[in-house]
Amino acid sequence: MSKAATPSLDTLDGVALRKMFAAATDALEAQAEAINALNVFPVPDGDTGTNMLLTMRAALEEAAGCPSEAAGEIAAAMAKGSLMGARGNSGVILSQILRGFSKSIQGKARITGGDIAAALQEASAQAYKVVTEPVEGTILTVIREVAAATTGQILSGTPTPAAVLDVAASSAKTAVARTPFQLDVLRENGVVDAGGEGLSVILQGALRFVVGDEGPLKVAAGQPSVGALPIAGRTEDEAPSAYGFCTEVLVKDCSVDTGRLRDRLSSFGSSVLVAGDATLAKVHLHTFDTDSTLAYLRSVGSVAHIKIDNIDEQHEAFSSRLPLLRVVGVVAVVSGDGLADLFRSLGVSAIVPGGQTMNPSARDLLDAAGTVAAETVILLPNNANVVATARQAQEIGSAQRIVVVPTQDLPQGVAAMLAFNYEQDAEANATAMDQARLAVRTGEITQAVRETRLEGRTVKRGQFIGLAGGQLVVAHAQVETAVERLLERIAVKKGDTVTLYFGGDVSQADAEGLAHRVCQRFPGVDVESFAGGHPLYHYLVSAE
Amino acid sequence: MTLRIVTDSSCDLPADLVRSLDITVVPCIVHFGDELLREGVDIQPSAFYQRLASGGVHPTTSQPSVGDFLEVYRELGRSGDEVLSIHISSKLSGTYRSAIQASQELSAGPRIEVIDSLQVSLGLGVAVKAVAELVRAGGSLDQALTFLERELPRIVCYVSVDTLQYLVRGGRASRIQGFLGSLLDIKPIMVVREGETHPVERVRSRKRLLERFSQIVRASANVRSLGFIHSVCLDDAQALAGRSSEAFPDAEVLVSEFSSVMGVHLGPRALGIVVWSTPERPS
Repeated sequence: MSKAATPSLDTLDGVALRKMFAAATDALEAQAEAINALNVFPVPDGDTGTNMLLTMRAALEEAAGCPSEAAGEIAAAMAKGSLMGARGNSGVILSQILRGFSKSIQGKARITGGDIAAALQEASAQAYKVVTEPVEGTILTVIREVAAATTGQILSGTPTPAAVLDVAASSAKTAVARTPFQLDVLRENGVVDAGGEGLSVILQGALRFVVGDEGPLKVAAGQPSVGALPIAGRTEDEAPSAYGFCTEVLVKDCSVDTGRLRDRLSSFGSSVLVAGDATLAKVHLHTFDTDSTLAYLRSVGSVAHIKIDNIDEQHEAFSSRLPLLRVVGVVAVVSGDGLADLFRSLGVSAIVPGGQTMNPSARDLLDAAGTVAAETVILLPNNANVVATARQAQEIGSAQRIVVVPTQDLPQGVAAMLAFNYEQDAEANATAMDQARLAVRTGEITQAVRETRLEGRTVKRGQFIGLAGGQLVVAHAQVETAVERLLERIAVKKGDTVTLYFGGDVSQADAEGLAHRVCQRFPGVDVESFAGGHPLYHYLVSAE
Repeated sequence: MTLRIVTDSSCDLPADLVRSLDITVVPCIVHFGDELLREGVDIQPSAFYQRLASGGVHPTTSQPSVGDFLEVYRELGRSGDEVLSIHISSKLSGTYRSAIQASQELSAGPRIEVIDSLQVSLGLGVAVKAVAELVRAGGSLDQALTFLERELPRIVCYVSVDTLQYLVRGGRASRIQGFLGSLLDIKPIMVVREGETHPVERVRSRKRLLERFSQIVRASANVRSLGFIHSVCLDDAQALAGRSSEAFPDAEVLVSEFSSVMGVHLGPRALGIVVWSTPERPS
């Protein structure tokens, strides 16, 4: 691993430590796209490489603002920055690794190789603390193996940082290579664990710095442009001006099809819904420019039954009567215009856009909570990839108390919100909301982004797949059949209310057709379809 | 000298009971534009909901005037009768204030006691009926007051709507807006507590609502009276009443229709249940 290079350092002060982490971050940046590609699930997923990179950057930013040159203080700043900036599960674990590392070298101006070895032990222990059900073959295994490999160096004379990091980096590589044998899903897909690989790349970057090899890392072509990466989590403006006029119009004999109509209307406003067909379409949208909207609609068909409400006025009339400080408010992570409207209508105070592929950071969640005038803020992560970040935000805390109701998906979030009662205190709400989310059975339908296997059979890329509890349970070439089989798997029975939240790629007509089919297939079941407008998932389903 | 019971038309007591117990009901006023109709006199609930659903001018309601109460109190006082006047929650209507003002005008005459029930609909109705029965059995005004003070807080009224549009249109939704959730088929259940409407829970679908109402009734104990109020959905109210009276064979069961004061905000197909739980046996 180590090359002949400039003499390595005996100890690291804060300045050197910061440079070491910067080098590690550069290495991660170079590999981020490759790590993203290690996504094993056939589901479009939170990009592990991007999440870890953004977490490291948040750490570096905090360190850059730290005036001290003491190693302990630089590490503490990095830990703080990464806690706030952590995104996704790997990012959260990485932030805990940095936190453990920093705790161990607290108060030290300079650190030796032995200190680094000791800090890696603490980093491993800290990482395990935050995971309730550790899984082998992940980033956790890798940090544990690294700690095990370097433990002997804590007291063995005076190893250089380079010596310790050399052992750490090579043990990480070995551990990563073993992950496919520890986790079936990795072996089946012929890949290594993405989070583990990310950690390994970080350690190698750190090693390259301490051995004095500061040249650009030689990696495969195709450097990712991080500037262009989608960064989730800007809190939407609370301003009522987000609404405009709620406009509903019937359009007869429309010269463009409804898909086209919807696309075009999106340029006039938000919350666009187009129902029906070209002969008679019902249009709903929120817009500031009703004149242009109507002029456009008149240009494509004949217009009738125009209904325009000033939502801002309604909203203002409502806001002005709100008490200044509520006991409890809710912040939810939501993707999709329709779902965002739904969550708001159920009493959510602030929405953080994001979810499956755009994982917000702990800071994003805390910033959103800060906009809510409530003593306690309940966070609804609404995605398995965001739960850990929400817990991190709870732990970091703020002037407000933060409580997480760990909703795993959006339908669980809706069920939790139905149980929300603004007059109850935080504890009563958290309990009721948690029970409600567990009482609803949920599933997701998307298209396989890669070939995979299900119960011994090959699932081709592009097939519709259904997931329940995060597990792949059904696959079919036809979306309708996939939904029906998914509903069977979540045990839909007589008396249930089934909700089909259809995504932005599904037309209202298709969704209603499917709802009708489900009604016939499952007698005695109420079916409601709802335009979620969310990406990636054709349908999110719930039964209760 | 006798004791006369007065209430207002929001009590939703069936007309035959009102007659047989000799209760005086002061009508609230329904406005369709410039047209003023006395509730229960000029317009009955069935006609009211027909007009409400017809989509013409949206009605509003107003409390009886001070003059309306003066007229009633004077008439009853002429024969030297005492008056116990029991009304809809002062936090939801100005009726109580009209009645109080009228009673103050007549402070020189026979005794008039005006009570703010902090109840609505049959929550008020069951109490009025019980007091009328108590008086008929020879109870005094002071006994009646003690009875009301003790029993009114024991009456609970739950209400739900089938559609949110009337609450929103009537301007009554603002405070509980965040609770209503208008985008899915959600039925919000509200409770009248201390005279005001509070959120309880939200259920998906009307079927769930009926189940939940049934559960709420069955979970009660020491049930003296049950009330089921509806707007143009008598079948649902009767079905609920049937199921509930199986669970409480000794309880009094009343079924009636929401008058316009509530109906203008609740709209058609709204349902309410009243549960009066008391350890005291009816006198």
